Amino acid sequence: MDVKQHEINFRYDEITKDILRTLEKPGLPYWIMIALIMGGLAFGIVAWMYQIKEGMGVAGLNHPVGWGVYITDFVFWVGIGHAGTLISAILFLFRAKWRNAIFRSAEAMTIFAVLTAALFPLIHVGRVWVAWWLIPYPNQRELWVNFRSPLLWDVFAINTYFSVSAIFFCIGLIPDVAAIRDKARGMRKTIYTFMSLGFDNSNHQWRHYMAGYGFFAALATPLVLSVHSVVSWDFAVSIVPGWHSTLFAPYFVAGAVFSGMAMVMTILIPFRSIFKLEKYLTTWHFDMMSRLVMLTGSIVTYSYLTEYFIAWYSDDPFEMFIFYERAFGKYQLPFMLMFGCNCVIPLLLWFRGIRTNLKALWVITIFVNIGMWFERFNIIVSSLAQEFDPYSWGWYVPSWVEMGITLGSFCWFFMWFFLFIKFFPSLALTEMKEIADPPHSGKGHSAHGKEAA
Amino acid sequence: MSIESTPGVLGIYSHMDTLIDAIKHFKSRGRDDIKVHSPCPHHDLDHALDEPVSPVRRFTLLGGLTGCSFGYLFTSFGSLEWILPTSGKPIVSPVAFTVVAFELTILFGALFTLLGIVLNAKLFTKRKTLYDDRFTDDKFGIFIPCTRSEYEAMTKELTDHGAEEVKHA
Repeated sequence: MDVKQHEINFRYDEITKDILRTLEKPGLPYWIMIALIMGGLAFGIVAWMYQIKEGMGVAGLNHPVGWGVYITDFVFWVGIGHAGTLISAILFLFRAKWRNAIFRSAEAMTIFAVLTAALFPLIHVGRVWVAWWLIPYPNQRELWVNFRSPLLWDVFAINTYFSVSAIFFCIGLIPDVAAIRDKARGMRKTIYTFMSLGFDNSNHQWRHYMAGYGFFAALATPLVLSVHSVVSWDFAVSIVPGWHSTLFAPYFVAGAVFSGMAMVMTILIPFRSIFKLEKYLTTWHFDMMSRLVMLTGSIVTYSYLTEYFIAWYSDDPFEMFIFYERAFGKYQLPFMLMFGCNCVIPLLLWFRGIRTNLKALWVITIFVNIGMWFERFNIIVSSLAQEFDPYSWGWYVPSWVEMGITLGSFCWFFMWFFLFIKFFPSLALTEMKEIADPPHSGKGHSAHGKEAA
Repeated sequence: MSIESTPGVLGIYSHMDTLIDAIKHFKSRGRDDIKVHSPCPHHDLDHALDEPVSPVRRFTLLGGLTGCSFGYLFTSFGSLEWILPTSGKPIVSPVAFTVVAFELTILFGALFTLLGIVLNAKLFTKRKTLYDDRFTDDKFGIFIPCTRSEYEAMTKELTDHGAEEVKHA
């Protein structure tokens, strides 16, 4: 069924009631999920504590592969964090109305994904207690960091991205928190009154709020494009074969949006069903998101093919060798998983029947996430394992500690999301009202809400 | 309910068209001090209220310029304070520093925009006018500041222009 804009046009009070219902006391399935998540997180924490105590030797990292699963996880999670700001900022500027129902969850996902990504440089450096040396500040050692290093650009890019996304997210929440405040009683009212910062939905406040919101969107748009570009330069600015490419920035950004949109759908499909939000999150929304996945998936596939073409066209033996080895060498399995999940399986989305079949869509998005994780692994590990000199080649296999920390990172991400959906509206109340017809008296105007359409 | 210290009358409306007619009426009478509440922003309300452009944009511009200048100056200063020669590259490398300057332009732009919203929208301040909890749900409101002696006349005027309920402090 094709659901269009006019079919998600509801009365204001109906929107408030339906969306605030998601904040009610959770049932048993919620607590079971929380227990599983906390168990996985505890395992990840134990694995990290073990690494801190024993040293980096417990990870599979060794010469020549000094970057492995931790950096793979870092790049993967930064990528996951891209869809939220794309939806909330870029689609806001384009006035795409289908964003209104999904942007809040996607934005929350961005914050939690960047929070997760930010853990990995700390885990990867090993001696986490001196990680603050990365921060440039006047110190007693009279040292300054190297501002020409892409690793330091990353420090600025990730911190800026997290800060701006968090501010954008919190600003967007204010009117909705005010709505919860006005419905709440007792201690909840006190807490939400504090968090609503005195917002009273008056024209004086809306005027400045909307102006500022537009500027946040305008600032966040180039930021989305810059963050994964800067992450890609961690690799592209080096001379390592398979990394040294001007293609990396757009290739990484497209991959980030591809994986981020897939993760949004992976989360929203069960969420919609659990909270009975089918009338707000319609097949139309998922069709639109699938089209973005198709677009970015096509860019990613094109980038893979271009990499191979340029490797051949460059006539550089090291470059040609690395790309041959990726497809036919020791790391063939990650390559096949990457190519199959990112290039072949998403082709199913060209069929409209699949784009509107949410069960099929959910399975496809999980494959895309697996494929994108292996894409990062493939880029990072295969290039380092077989650099220029065969004497220094070496193979990398992740240890249980790295896999435990990776599992813990997924649980950390979902822990924040599960807490979020019980304390804040996961659909934006105010923005759902903005796309609904306002109530009219009927004197020369149409009725309010869906009946108006 | 909030602390009310500004005397005035609050009219509550259920319909946007009635509210807009009332706003136009009060604006035509020269009442530019009315305060309008609505569950969400709406273009029709903006047109009826005809308010000047928000000054938040100046905060954003100032923040962006500050961040950009700070980005270039800070990286140049740090590099000159602790010389790290790498591959014959210039110590002060404006192209490499552009990445940091760009990120700080965005960061400072966002922080100043936040400050602009907080200061102009008067967040973190206690509300001094009458309010109704339904304004975040499905009702609209017009608050008109007036003296106690004008309450009766204002109540009548609001009711005549479609208000379904009228409250006063």
